Amino acid sequence: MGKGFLTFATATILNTVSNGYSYGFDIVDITGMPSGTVYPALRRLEEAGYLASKWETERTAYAQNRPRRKYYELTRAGRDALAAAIERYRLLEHTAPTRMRPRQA
Amino acid sequence: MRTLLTRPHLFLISMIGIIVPSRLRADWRDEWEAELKYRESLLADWDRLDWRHKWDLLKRSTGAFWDALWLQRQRLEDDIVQDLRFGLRMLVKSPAFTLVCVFTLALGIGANTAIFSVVNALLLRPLAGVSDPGRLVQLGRQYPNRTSLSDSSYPDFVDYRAANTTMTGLAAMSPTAFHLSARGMTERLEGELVVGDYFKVLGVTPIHGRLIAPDDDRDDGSNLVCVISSRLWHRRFNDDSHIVGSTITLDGRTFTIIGVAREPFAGVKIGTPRDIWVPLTTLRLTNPTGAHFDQRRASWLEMFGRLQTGISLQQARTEFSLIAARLERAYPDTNARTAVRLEAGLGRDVDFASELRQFTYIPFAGVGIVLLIACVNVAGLLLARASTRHREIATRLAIGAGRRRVIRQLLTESLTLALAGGVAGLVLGAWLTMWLRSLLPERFLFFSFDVDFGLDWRVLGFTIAISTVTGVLFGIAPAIRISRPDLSAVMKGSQISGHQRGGLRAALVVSEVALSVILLVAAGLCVRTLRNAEGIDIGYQAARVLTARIDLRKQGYTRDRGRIFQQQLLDRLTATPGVDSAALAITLPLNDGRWEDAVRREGDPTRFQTFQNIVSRDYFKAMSIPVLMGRNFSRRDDERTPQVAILSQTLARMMWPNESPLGKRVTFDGRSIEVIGIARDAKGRNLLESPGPMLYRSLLQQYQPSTVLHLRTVLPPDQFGETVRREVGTLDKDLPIYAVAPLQEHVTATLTPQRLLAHLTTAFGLLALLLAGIGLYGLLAYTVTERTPEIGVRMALGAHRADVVRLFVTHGMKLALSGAALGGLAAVAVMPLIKGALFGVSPLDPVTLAVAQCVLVAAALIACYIPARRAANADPKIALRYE
Repeated sequence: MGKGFLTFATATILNTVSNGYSYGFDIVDITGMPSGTVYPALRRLEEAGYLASKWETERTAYAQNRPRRKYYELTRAGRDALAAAIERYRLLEHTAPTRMRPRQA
Repeated sequence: MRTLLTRPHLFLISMIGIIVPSRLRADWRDEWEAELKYRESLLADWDRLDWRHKWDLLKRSTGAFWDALWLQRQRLEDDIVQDLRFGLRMLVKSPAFTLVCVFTLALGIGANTAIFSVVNALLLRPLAGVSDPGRLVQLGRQYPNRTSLSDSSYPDFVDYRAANTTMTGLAAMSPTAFHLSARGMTERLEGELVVGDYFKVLGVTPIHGRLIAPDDDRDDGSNLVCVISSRLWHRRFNDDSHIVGSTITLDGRTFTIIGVAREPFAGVKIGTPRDIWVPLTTLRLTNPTGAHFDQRRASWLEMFGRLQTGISLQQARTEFSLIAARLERAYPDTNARTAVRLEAGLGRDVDFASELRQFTYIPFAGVGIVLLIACVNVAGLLLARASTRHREIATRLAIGAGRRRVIRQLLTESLTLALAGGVAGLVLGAWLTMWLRSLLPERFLFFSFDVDFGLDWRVLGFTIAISTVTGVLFGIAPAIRISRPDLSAVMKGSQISGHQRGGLRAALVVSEVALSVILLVAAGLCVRTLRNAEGIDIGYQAARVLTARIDLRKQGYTRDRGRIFQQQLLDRLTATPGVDSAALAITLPLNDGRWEDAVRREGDPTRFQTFQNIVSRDYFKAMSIPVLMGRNFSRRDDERTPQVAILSQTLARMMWPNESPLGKRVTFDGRSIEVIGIARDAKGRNLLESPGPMLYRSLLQQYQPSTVLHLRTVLPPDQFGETVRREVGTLDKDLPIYAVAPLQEHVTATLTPQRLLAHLTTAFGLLALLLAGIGLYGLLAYTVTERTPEIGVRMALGAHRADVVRLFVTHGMKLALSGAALGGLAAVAVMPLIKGALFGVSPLDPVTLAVAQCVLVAAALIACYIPARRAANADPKIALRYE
């Protein structure tokens, strides 16, 4: 995938991550996209260097009484790419997930 | 398994995880499972874990599949793919080497594929057009001392059908021919008389109308309906979609077509496509006595059934044996000592299949040896190439690659080669299969070779399997050898220790030569067998005789009309220019075995089992069978005069060993018959056996409506097919004649096994010779290259070119001669195994053995001389420059 070009869906996911929704199911909930779209997109973004992933520590997970989870965050390149994408897709700002009310699961 | 029910989403993840590249799998599963488990526990805490949310979880987990698919690209970085890519690069880098290997392997694999394709077509492929053929079973009577599966009687069939619980259905049928008249043309077609359940048990569906159902198979036989095959529907009725309800004439009676069976169904005998099915009870019309349906003695039905799911063949056998025992107690007159026999699969004659299976051992052994030689050859090439890759392998090992890793890399390369060889072999195999097909006659005995020889998943699977085995077989030894180099020596750049490796290569060449000798000896023996068999005196002159069949009964001829027709036909044909003589007989001399009965000397109870033929007057003339003593049948030997017979020499000798049988009387077929002549013996179906006893009777005295026309012609007989058709057509334009073929074709067909073996073993022998030659040549060419500096020194010191040639030829011929000697010993040990397939030649025939070894030594000389000459032509100055 060429750097500097993101599809709308991918840009949305990137935007969602930048807004602090940082793991898979969270992003699925917020964007309403199917998990079969979100996960491959995360992998692509990570491969392109826009996202970095890290596993949370056993301790944090244990403290919250759940299995260890994998978090994604934007890299510097990711932030640049997102800025470029927002330029191109004006709609992105308006659909920014900060304005979406999370569905109560 | 409990996860599947309680937490299907997690089960799905673990299933999908299987396709995720192994090095990513653990992480991948953790990520997905963490989210799903957490979500699940949250929902449980909130008490919202209802089916709707469970469904949502499941839906989300299906997304993992797309995720896993996306990850497939990461496989490109897997070890195995790396090995593969590297291997492919290595192969592309030395195209000549790769081509020779692939070609060699293709020969070996292709030969195997071809033989397997034929075996697949003849023995493995299930009946076409039926549902789940694996659960179909054929049933029949088993008489003591007989190997064949015999037909059953109708009352037995009814009892078995009613009493069994292991089959979902039991059906029966009787093959029969029909004379079909429709739209102004009559032709003879194969068909079946079937019970009402026939199509249901087979699971055949119609494309038009409906198929025969139990209601059609009514007791009085008044229901004249039929089902036709798609084949017939295409050919005779131009795919007429309004065919259902129209009528056709079968054997002179009007039948209504009720349906067309779906392609490719064509009856239950593979190789004998059938086109018409009518209810069994129709027989009551042509045979109103009902003997067929009431008598347990009358065996005429072929039974088959479909096993219930979960019931094994063995269970069914047990149950049917119990029923058979009960029938035996109830009807001791007819059912005593007849067991019931069940065989898996439908469509093949049990006896013929087992004979065929026996026969395939030799070709399979042959192609197996060819493949082995190909493997040895490629292993030799791999070893030779190893010298150039020595440094690479040593470097890999030196910088820390494990030996297993190197072996794996080398094996990946050989497997790649093998699979490439497999693909080429598949193409070659398809071509060879066509060649094999062309060696087969139209039919052999009762078996028609009109079967599908095409590629299917079995052939494909077989080829892939043998390619893989081949790859490991030729790859493993070189891989182990190469991955154990003397590291320090190689890294220091010293010459490769070629002698040790040369030893293994020499051993490979010797074994290759030995294997070729075995095949060449087998080829020699089989060719001599065929030659001997073709030279057999069969007792009659088959050349220039045309045969054709005529069946008057199906055309509704009465006895009187039939006699007149037969006489007129013979008179007309005899008067035709180019025809020497014409005769009718009930069977070909290559007796189809049905006309067998017992004959007695009058007033003596001793029974002699004999074949019989009922022939017209000119039969002996048409066949060129001399009547040695007494007289031939004459025009006066008809129904009004006393019955007469001519005996064959063998029968005469059996019945009256010490006196002339002329004028003696025999009892046959319940009549008293006078012996008027002795005819020369003629061979029967098996040309390799001594001729069987034969009793000839006059067609004028014993009318038979179904006969074989024998026409002796002055010119090649195939030109007379039209003549016969025209003359028959003048007498009766609706009468079909069929099976028109020169007698020689029948005779030739009887030697099919011998001919096939001769051709196959010769082909394999030559292939082996070629491969062994390539192997020997390769070894010597390599040695020459390796020893170029030494040659330079020798020549510089005054060696002549002849000396150099002698040096290498001696080296090569030592290997070839020891291979030939070893092969000779092996042949002596192995050949007695094929004794049963030989005729007129001993398996240890010294001439064949010597010739095979000579052929091999001659080929070896050529293979050695070419590289040796190249060595001798080397310029010592250039040769020395390498030092």
